[in-house]
Amino acid sequence: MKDALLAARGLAVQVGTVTVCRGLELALAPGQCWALLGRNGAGKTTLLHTLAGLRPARAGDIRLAGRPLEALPRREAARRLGLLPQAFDDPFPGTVLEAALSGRHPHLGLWEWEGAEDVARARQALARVGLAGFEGRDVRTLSGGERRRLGLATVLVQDPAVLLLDEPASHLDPRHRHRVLELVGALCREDNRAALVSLHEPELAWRHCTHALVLLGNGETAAGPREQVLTDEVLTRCYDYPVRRLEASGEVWFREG
Amino acid sequence: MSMAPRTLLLLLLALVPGALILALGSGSQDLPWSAVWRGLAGDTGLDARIVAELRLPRALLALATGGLLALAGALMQALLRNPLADPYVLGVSGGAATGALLALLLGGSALAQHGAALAGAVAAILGVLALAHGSGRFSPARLLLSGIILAAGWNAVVAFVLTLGEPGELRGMLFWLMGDLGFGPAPEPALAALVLGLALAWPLARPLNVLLQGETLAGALGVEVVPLQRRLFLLAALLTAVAVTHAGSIGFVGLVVPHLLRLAGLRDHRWLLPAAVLGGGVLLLLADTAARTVLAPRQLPVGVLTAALGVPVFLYLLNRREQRP
Repeated sequence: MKDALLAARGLAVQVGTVTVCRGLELALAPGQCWALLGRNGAGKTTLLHTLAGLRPARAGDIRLAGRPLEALPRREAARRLGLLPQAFDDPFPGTVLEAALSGRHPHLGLWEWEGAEDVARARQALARVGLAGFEGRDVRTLSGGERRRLGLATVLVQDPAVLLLDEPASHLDPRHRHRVLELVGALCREDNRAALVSLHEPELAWRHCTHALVLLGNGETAAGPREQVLTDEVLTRCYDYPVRRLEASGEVWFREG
Repeated sequence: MSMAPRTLLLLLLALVPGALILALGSGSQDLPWSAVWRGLAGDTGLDARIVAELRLPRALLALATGGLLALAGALMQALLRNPLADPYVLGVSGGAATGALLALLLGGSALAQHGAALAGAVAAILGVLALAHGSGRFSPARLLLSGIILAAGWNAVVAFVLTLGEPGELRGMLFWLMGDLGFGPAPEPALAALVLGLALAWPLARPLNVLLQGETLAGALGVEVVPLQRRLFLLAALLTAVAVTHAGSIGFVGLVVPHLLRLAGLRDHRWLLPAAVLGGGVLLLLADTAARTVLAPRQLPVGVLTAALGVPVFLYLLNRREQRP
């Protein structure tokens, strides 16, 4: 708990009439990749925004690298914690490279301009999400999946220790879905970062994550290592729909219905 | 189509003296070009004095007003995340005109008029924001509709107040509803406001770039979103109010100029904001020069010309947005 990159204690989050969580204890330690599961409207996005410090919690406290999140200046928080939003909407023209470069914003001083090193970082991040060669494209011409991968590239350029990713796998074809989640897993394992990733499929959670946080509705949650949390009982309650974990010869998959 | 931002900015900078000389040399009175130099050099001959005392203040006022409106437009577009935002289209100019006009009728001083114009502009933006947010999600279509309807409302209030106050004051009506640079207030306060406005806006430029990608992402990238929006809001209202008290409600400069600059490849607000100031100034100066000369000796209100430019650009932008998936 002490060296968690991001920790929540007694966290209560409410949005409208929905209680997202109550008394949530969560500690994202270096190297851990957490899946965030919950039915539609359970408040996954709201919880991620709260953990990012973008909206107030109802109760409890959130610590980023041991310091209270709400006391941190936003710029400083943004150097340690990145968020991939669920939706992108680009009303203005702009290039893919420019969008990726905006990840450097919290690292640059007020009068500082992006330099060659920042551009190199942005190009590298674009290559890691499979967008090499897209640098000069207008963001408004990207497909939904390409735009999401660009969003992830912006987070990579931001280079935070904690990654909060809101549905990074949606709109992605199977190859990119797994490549993106493998990349997130590698970022956690190899660079000692921590991630909390909202997903819709238990199977993706099992395959790419080490831990899971499941929103059960009514503010109840289940959190812990994937083997303990992604059980028939928890998932069935979570989705209010029968889900079974099947294991055979070391393979795990989930049967829905 | 794209040019290096620095080249484009230098080009605009070079256009300023060019447009200024053209404006000083043209008008209903045919003057020799030498009068322009003599006027600028402080000669006391009649044609030199026409240049120095009539044309120069008006030309400087056009430069300042155009810059104010284009800067206000660029800031409003970022604030509302909508490339169609413009002080005139969304009724901010109308609110400022109503405020200034009421202060004028109540016998307020020049300072009171400026204050009332600012209050009117603030009220107008607040109205647009409140209506666009309404209950539920903020939608660009709702924003534009609310703004356009509010603008029509403000214009009706202006016409009503003018009819009560000074019956038959057609020229005053044109000033407040369409804008006119021919009323001859001194350009210095507007120029000072423009320089101050740009100095206050420029440090916000990089956060603005991030804000264009959405409030959530901007917050996650370390931008203090609400304070930034408040500052943008106040600055846009202030710039519009100064423009309106000096030249009435001139439309579309704030829409056309940032759009043309984006087309030319300027997207980074660190370049876009100063370029909008120069581009807006040059555009309005050229438009006013045309307004004075096209049907000379008759003078058109400059708002007629900016509308002739702005309406097609607005429709083009709207159409292109609709076509996007």
